[in-house]
Amino acid sequence: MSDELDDNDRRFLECAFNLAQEALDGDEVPVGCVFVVDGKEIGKGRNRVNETGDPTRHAEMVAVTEMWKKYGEECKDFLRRAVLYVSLEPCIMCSSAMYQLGIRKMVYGAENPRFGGVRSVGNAEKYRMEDNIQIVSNVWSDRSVAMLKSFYEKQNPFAPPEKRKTKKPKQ
Amino acid sequence: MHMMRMRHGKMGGVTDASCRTLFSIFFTTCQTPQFQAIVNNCFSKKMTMDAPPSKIRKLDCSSVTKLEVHPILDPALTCETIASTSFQALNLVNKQVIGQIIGGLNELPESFQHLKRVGKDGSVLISETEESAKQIIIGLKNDDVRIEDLKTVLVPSKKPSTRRQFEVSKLLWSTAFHPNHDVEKLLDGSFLTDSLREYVIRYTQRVIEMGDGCIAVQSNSVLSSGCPSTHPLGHPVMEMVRNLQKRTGSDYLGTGSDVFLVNEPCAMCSMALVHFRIKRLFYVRNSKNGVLKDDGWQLHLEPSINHHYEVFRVNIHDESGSNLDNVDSNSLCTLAK
Repeated sequence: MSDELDDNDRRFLECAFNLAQEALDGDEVPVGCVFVVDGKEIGKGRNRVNETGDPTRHAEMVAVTEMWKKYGEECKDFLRRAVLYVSLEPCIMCSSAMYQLGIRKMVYGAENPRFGGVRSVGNAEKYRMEDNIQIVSNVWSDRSVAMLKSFYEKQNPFAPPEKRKTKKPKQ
Repeated sequence: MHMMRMRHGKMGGVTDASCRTLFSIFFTTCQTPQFQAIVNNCFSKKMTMDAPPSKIRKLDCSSVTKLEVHPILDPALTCETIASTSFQALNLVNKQVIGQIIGGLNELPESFQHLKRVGKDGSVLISETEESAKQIIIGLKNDDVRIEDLKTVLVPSKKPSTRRQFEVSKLLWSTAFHPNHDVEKLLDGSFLTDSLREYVIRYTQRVIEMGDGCIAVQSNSVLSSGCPSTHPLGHPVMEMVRNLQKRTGSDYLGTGSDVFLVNEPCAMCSMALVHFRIKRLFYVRNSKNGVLKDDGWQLHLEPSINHHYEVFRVNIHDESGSNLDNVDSNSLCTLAK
């Protein structure tokens, strides 16, 4: 899958994965994302569920709210032209949101068999939406999964201290 | 109440399009002044939304109002038929050897463990196929047992999930059954106790008053509420969650709360309610983009999701039988225009 990526794609993916690492360092589920229009970043976000106590503050939602504050109504037009780079397959809530916002393209990391809302568990047809977002899936999956693993190891209070250390993500 | 998983796996081959559950409680609004006030208030607010005025006028004191609370259950539970399959059974002339015969047999295969070994007529289940049944009989080396006494019987292919299915299964072959009392209450309507009825009326009325609203209720008090905003994803549920005060300590999110909605939620909002860990959802109108009603995906029954909530559709009818809150076929779970 990664063969399809150009330098720009890699740059924005790197940014999304760095945001995921930032979430991990803040004891949040490690997911980060960037919205891009015409090669320019228009918004970004990372998981902030624990920080805010709001279970819907996933990376994509945080980014949309940031864009809404920054651009107001205009952000809706931007979003219709946007490409989303995200370090993990968006959950059902976030995927449904992307179909409703009508973004152009999605590039994401590992698939999420429990919650994934693009291909894994949910999909546009199930949401009664048109399947009209271009999808590039399973990009840099190992790195995406490694971060999730270290999050769950860190969270386990019975894990031996040496295992609780944050792992360096695979490059 | 313990969280109940409503999907118990698909029942192979079972198709009964008519299997629905609908529970109605009839009220004469005149009978209780308190209820009359609630319902009148409810409908007068409705008038400002989208119900035609002609229907509103009918709702005077003499109207008989019907409240329906319709649980949206797994078709595997509402289905009143049961799939069957053929099996080889042995007729025994001498019933006294039944124990001896069973002692010489292996256990039934995993997928037939729900079946009792001996039928009502005293015949004994041997095997699924005729060929292997004959082999087994020969292997028994018992003078009371003859291959000619093998017969084909129909048995239920799955363990019944509900009492109704158990009754149907029993007609075919004796079957094990372990009733889930919460499911039975949902199926026979007895879940709708007087206190639940009052509770549903109170908050349904409140949420209709809000317009296209959403209310979360925890331990009998309002936890949070919301109405559509112009945020690109400002749907009622998302606004309700956003308006919730940051919580700390043992009160994790909306755990165990009940949510009341006017419009059936879209996939985003339905999944947000999963993240919010609610116990029950009550909504009034089906939405075009809703994913809970029984002609589509039914997110709340999706087995791969790790939290499940119960879903109920609440209807209030007037005496003409028209459904005031369900007439709008253009209902949509959406943001403020």
